[in-house]
Amino acid sequence: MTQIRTIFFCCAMLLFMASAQGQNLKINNIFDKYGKQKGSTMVILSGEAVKNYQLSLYRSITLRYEEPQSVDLQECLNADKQQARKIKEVISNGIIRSGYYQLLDEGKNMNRYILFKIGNDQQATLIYMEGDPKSEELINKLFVRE
Amino acid sequence: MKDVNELIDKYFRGETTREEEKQLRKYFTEETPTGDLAEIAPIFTYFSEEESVTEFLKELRVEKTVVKRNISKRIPFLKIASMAACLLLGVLLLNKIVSIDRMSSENCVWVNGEKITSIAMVRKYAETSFENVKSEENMLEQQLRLMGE
Repeated sequence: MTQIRTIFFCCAMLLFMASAQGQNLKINNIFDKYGKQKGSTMVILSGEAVKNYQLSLYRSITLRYEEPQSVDLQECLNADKQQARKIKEVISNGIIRSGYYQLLDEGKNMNRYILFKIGNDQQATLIYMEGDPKSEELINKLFVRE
Repeated sequence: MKDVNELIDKYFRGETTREEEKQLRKYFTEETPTGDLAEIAPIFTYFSEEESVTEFLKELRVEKTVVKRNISKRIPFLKIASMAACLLLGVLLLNKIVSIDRMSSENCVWVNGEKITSIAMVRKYAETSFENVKSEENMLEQQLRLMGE
């Protein structure tokens, strides 16, 4: 009986950890993998620096849109947009050229956004932002022309 | 032999001590009696066999307790091992969360693998990335243009 209880406890812990890990977005891999590489520019801003924009976190990465990062970028965006509640994107030949994704807030009273664009100079920019619900209006004004 | 006969008489009178009965059992197990003694031999060999069976059962009981003890030792070990594994996973997860938090609480820009913490520079690069993503044309126009290309 004790053994069953212990096994049950362990399974519950593992499930909890797996679900906690699942909250991570795939695009985090892009920041982790390419952020500190030569040819990339990664910006991390948080706290007071972005408070005026109703944001709590701003992360961006600009890198050359070529393999293998192009493949990773498309894969991660396609995976993360499954969690989005608002999607605006431009797709050409099956490739996401630019995208705006507002993600589900998971009950944290927080808005999360992913922005992506491949520029004419073949530089891709990926932005991830977190902010309070008021940030939506501002983000729309700043990034999305209706 | 005389002693054995005396002991047997004593035994049937019910006057033998435990030690004497033991001697009798030993005698009948080790020797091959003849005549009258052979007839009563099964009484003592039976007891001798019974004793060995009892001893065997006793050993079995001891073994069972040893097995039980081993199991009871294994369960706490399993419990401790699983708790340790959970703790380790928890620590790793916390570590990851803390490192993400630490990363996000620090304002910086990485340019070609070099870290810059000057807030003015960080803002400048942030604005540039803002501009990169900002669309000059709306998404519908952009999609139509790409379709025409």
